[in-house]
Amino acid sequence: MVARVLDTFFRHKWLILLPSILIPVIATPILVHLSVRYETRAAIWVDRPAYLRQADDDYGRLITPAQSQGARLNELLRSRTFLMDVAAQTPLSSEVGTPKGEAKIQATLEKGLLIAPGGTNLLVITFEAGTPEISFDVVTALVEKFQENVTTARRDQGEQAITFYQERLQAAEDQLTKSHEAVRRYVGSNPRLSAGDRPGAAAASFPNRVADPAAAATDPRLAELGARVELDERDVERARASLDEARLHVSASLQGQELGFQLIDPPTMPTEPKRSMRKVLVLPIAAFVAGLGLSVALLLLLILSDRSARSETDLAPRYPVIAVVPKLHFDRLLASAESDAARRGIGLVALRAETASLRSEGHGPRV
Amino acid sequence: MVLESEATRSSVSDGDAPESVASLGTALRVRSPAGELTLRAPEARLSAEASEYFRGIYTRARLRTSAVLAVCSALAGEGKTTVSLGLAQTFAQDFPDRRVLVVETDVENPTLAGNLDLDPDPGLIDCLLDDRPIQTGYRATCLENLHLLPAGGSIDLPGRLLRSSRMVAAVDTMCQTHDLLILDVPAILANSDAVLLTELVDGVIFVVRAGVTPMPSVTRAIAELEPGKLRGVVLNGATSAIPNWLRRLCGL
Repeated sequence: MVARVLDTFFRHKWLILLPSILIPVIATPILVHLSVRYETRAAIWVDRPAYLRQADDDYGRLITPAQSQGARLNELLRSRTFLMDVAAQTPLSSEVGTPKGEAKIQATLEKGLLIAPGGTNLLVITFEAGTPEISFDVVTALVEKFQENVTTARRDQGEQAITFYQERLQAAEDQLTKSHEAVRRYVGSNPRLSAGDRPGAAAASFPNRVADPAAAATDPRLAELGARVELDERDVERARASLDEARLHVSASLQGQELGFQLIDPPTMPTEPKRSMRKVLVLPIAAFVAGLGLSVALLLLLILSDRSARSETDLAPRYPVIAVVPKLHFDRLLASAESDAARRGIGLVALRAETASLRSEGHGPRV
Repeated sequence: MVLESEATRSSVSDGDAPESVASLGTALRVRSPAGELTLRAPEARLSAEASEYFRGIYTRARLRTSAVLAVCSALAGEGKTTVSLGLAQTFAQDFPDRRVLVVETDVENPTLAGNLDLDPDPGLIDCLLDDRPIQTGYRATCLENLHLLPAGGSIDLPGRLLRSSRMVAAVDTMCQTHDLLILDVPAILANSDAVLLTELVDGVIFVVRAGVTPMPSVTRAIAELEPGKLRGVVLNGATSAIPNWLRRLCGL
């Protein structure tokens, strides 16, 4: 078997080696050329809205704002609408509208886009493409669309928050009013504690409404009511602060200055291609390996397709091989004579004239 | 007869051919002023190396000094005629007292006369057809004890003649005039006459063209032969592309 493999290889060596030589020679420059990439980078500072911080649950504490927004952007990129909105602002816009083109856009973005948190609040977007224009335009469009999306979402969220905090503030204020009323009624029902008809007593806060603070300090019911009033006052203050913050964010969003989304490093047009040394080294090796694989396949194909008897071992087990006659070559001058030369070269020539001559001389066959 | 030109002689003797080459007949390049190929008879002999291959064939085939042998193959163009002629010439050279006759029986595709610049007429078919003495078809060669009998002119349905009693009688006659009779028979899978002809002989040498003849064809053709008649298989034109250094290294 070894002899057959070697014989087949050396018999067709150029044919077999051709893929191993040709594929790296042709494919390497093409692959290296195709592997030239232009990279555009943008860095965004993202933060959760302050009015949501106090509502952080466990999930919110484990996920940084950068991770949260990165996940959000990745999810958006999985949606066709967002993806096509981005592509429509780039040189890839000609591909929008056809299933094939949209698949190409998706493949291009999936291949070249990298969204990674660069810290707690820093989100880094990197995109590699074959041309600087595509690379730059995609990042620009992506950042723009993402910002639009975030701003819209935050505004909606802010408006909802305003409504929520307004209701909450109203509830807190109502509760505070009730608490004050309870204190007033309790103090009124206890003349020892009552401030009487001092001017402004009705509007005064809890300690000021009590005429005798020493007596009030020893009254547990009054202390309980006082603590409730203080708690309600804090609730009112907190709701008011949240409402103010929500209003600030909504106002900023409406003015195009999203506080939780700052473009720190805007994308810039790449001028120098990015060449990966790893790719430059790996691609020729990969091409050679592919060529080698093809060569081996070709060799196997040639071996398997050759059903002819080539050596004594092909015949010997079944038939008695009495001679292996090599291809009988003649000197180079005879090359053009080919097969005829083989027979003529045997030297068995008897021209008619010679035959007659030999016969006449008595050298003919003894018949 | 025109002698070999000095130029040709020197080109061959200077060793243009590689050392491993088996040069068969140095006088081949002789060309007459009329442009007709011819040979100097005394030099028209197989080289020692080439003779050794054919000597090996008749030795291993246990060829007696008197026998009728058929050289056949599965398909056409496998080197039957070359082996027949080489075998005949080697035998004739080695045994000058034995007379050898090569008979071309492939009447449908005769090549002997054409290749050796012989007149095809009268040949085997002519003698059988006209009922002429078979000896009239013999051709003399450079060796006194070696003769050839070409197939002869073309006729319709030559197979009929080969199957006739005339053919059997002709073989008997040839056996009387020569000690070793070598029948160059047609390809077995191409011509049904071949199997019939092998029944007239003592043994069969089967030629296989290395790298050409498919093994299934070899198997099928040998299966058609009468059991026990196969003297041996000659693998013709065998070459190995493996370089010598690698062959030595791998022990191949």
